[in-house]
Amino acid sequence: MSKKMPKAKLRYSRYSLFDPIEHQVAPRILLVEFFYWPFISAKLEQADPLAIVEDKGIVIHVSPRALRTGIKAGDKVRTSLSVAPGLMVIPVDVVDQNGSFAKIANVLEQFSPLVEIVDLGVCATNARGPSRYFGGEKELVSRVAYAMEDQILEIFPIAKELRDNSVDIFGRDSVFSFGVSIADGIFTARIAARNSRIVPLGESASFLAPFSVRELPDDDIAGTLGRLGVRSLGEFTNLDFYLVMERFGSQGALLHRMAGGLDTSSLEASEIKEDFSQKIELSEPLEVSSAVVFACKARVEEMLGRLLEKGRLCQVMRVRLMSENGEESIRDWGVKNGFSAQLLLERIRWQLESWSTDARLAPSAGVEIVELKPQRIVSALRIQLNLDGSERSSITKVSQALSRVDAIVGKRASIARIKGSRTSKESVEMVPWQLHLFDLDEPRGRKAKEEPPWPGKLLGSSPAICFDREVEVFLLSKEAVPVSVSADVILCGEPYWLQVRGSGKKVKILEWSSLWPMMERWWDLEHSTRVVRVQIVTDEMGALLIKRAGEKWLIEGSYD
Amino acid sequence: MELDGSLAKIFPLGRIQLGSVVLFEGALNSGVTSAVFEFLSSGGMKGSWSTLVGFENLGFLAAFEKGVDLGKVVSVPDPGRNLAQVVAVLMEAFPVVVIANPRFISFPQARNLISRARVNKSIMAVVQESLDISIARSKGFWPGSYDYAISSSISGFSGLGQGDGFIKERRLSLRLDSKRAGGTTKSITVRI
Repeated sequence: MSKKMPKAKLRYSRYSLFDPIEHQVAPRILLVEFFYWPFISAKLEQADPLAIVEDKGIVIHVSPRALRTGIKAGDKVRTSLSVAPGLMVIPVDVVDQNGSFAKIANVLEQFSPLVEIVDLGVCATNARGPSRYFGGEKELVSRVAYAMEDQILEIFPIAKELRDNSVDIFGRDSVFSFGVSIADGIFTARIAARNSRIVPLGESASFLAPFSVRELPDDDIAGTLGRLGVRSLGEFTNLDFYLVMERFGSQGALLHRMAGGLDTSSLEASEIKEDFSQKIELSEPLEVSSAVVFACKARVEEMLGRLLEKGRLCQVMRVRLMSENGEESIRDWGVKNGFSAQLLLERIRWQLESWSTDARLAPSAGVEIVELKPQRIVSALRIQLNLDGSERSSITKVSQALSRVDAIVGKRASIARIKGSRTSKESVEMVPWQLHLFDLDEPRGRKAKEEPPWPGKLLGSSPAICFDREVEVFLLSKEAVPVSVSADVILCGEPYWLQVRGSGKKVKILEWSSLWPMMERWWDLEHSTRVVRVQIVTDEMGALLIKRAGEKWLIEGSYD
Repeated sequence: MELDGSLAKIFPLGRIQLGSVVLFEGALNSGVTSAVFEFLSSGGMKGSWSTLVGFENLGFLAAFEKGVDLGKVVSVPDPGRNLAQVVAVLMEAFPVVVIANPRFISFPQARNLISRARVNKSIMAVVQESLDISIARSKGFWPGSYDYAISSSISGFSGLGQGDGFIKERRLSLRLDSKRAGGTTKSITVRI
């Protein structure tokens, strides 16, 4: 019986030490989420206030007690006031959104060095190292939770006061409630944080399956899925990936992966081929944060401009501050839609302020060096800048509009891609927009420039118009004798008139170029033809590119 | 929106108002398409998406050589009779919509589109070529009003002679009539 020990069950192979797959460890994310952070930072005097945060008349954050009255984010402030009398309305700009949160991130930093602030009140770090150090993930989570509680009590005196009055300040109904979780990806970890759960390695998909599609970070797609009868994330992942992509574009495809627990975007720096980092050495050490921020302004703008020129945006930026005496503070800041100069400078200021007010780590001298290192760079095509540079709308909007247009027109809208070829018509490939959007991260439109010149290719710029249906013309000499091309590629006669077939009108030819001979279908002896191209300048029809194919002259393009 | 390049020199203050209508006019083969490329490759367009509606024979290679970011230019070549509807949908998502020779747009539709452009803060550009003599076909025209009109003409070629050389350079003259800035007119000649 013992001989029947199945060999196949052996999990390791002879080469396991060197096996590259073994090294590709899935990331484990330790995440801390404060569910009601805006209310904590607004420093209300109670643990369970009836309050909302509003932005332009719309509710954006709801306190737990207000939630129980039925108010939800997205409601109008006016209607919620009528639902809950005595509601406290906090304008969004009063809330110090991330500034004080840096102090929370500092706590997490004691467990693992690289902390990313994912969102408002959410920070995350790599769980692998610390969980080994602290003896398991469970142990790590409870230690982090205790450290967080201590920090809250320390930085918010009101929290301490409330606790001394025996209020359950970390309970579910308190604005101070938070969750700590460990999972394979940030999306899974955020859902798990609600119940402070640890999702075991590789079990994200089954953990996520019962949750509603409303959890997906795209309300439009989630809404459509709901209307289509797809209610849970599990049902969503059961759909065919390609069908999802066809219907919802690349955004939908990404969500589909996410719902399947495959959002394993690690916190570690993604591969960045070009170095966009900036090291700003201040001419003199500065202590006032606004002065430091001001000194960085020009370089920050330059760096982000350079990124944008390359069609890239930075989602996660590592900010390293160094004082004159060599102390440093490192933090990763994340912005979902990419950093603008203003957003980044704001982050630098927050980091400076939290650093200089930190009791233990505060620098002993002014800041001398500010180093910025992009950690996650994405294609800017995913995110659309409006013309005035202010508002940013997502690629979803573009895909939705294009799907509607496709439905109206009955044909797919397309995007041109350039590839190397001899004629300007052949070098353009029209790609359906859906395909283009999914390939966004690899912009191929710029490839043609590096390619060697093609034989027979025209010199100078290409014609601005290339006719699909080539119009036949007659090229005539001054005496109205047709001009043809001899076997040794010489014009027989001087062209003087151009006449479009079917029209009696002759147009005068002012100048013409030398000839470009080219073989078409040279690989097929029977059908190969020689084509000769010539540019002509006429007095009434502008400049044209015409070609001699067989016994005919055809207009190929126009230098419009 | 700030412009740069040649167009910045003719637009009042070097910028174009969001939500405005720009008319590109010119005779056949007089550089209208090149003027559109100038427009699409202008500085403020960087980072934003645009659509070309109804352009059938466009030489995208020329646009690419001009510096237009083709990865963000969506082409809807033949919208047919639904042109107005297509443009209206596109304007919701695209900050720049360029329409070629609008054949099927009535005056009320045009007015509707103009107000939509204002609301969405998108720029609607209309290309309107004078009668095409090589291809006997009636081309459309824009029945509505406009804020800027750019008329173009090609004033000369260099680089070729009687059977030698090639077109190295074209001189494109652009004239802007701006209704916004009190009816000013400005022209410029660009070498392309």
